[in-house]
Amino acid sequence: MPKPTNITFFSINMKNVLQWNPPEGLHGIELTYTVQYFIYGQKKWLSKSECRQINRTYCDLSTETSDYEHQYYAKVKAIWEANCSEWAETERFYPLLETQIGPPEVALAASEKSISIVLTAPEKWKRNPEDPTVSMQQIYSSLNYNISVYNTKSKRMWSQFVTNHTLVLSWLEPNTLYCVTVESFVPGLPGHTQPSQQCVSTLKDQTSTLKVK
Amino acid sequence: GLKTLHLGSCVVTINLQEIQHGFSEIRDSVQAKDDNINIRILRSTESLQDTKASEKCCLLHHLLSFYLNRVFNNYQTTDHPTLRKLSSLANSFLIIKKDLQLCHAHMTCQCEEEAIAKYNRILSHFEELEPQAATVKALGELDILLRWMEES
Repeated sequence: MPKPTNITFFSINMKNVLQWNPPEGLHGIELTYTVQYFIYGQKKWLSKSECRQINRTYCDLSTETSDYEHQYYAKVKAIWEANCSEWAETERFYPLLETQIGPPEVALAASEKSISIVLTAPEKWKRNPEDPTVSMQQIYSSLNYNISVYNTKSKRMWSQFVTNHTLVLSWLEPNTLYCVTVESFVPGLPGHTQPSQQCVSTLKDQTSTLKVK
Repeated sequence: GLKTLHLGSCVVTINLQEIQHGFSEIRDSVQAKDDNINIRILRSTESLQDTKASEKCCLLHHLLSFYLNRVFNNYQTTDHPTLRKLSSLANSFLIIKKDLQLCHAHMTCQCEEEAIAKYNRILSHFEELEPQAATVKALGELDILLRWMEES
């Protein structure tokens, strides 16, 4: 019986989900899967009860891999009736180097000719909402942001990298819709996720309205 | 890309990002050759960042020498891109080691008990394994060492 294929960790902000494809050539057959994981340097493979004989092709191992200073392996096998495949195993997974950083929260405030941008770093995945929040900034001191600004009237766009969390865009056109796209970025880490985008309009130029009166 | 390492009174600047990038290109292939996943050489109990500030330089100096003398030049592969990457990593380590030797000359790289004890424990983990397996494992753990340096 062939093994599951393409077994990898998909990780964003340390939410680490193991995913795989069904074995080739067994489409239409009702398979189940069992997952185990291993902490590099420890002694034995461990099971996750919620991922024993499951139908889906993913298993959330965030809790089991939450210590990002450790490295991990995971493996999955396919089961059909009395048959089961060999284990399919991941490469060594190092959350610290392999997680993708999600986009920050973006707050925009506009005046006539400027927009102030306030960024809040994304949060590390946590098991329970009441657990203390850990910012990805605390984990990656070199976290910075790629900000792109698009003037919807002039169709002009410009970008800049920033490390701090507040920025004021000046010398803008009044009464104009600007769209701001922000991506998180840590040198050396894999690509980044979908950026966050928000748009805001600068206010009408008060001086011109006064003249009209 | 430059990173300043604060090792007690010894301060050196290195291009850590370049080294990390270099290793990332061979990491999966090297780690895939490590069959002894139940053994870890660089353990958090011996980490650089949790070492007394005044002894960090000594521990790092020993670790760099270890990698230069017992890992990079003993790693057996016929893959030329990997060999090129290894020599580039070795050169980077040599540069850092020279900087640490300057600290040593200025008496800011003292070796005391903690650094020596930690290094000896790391060595004993390494020597638990058959030489070539140990070399493969140590090279595969370079991402851990680079993380320790990043955290220092």
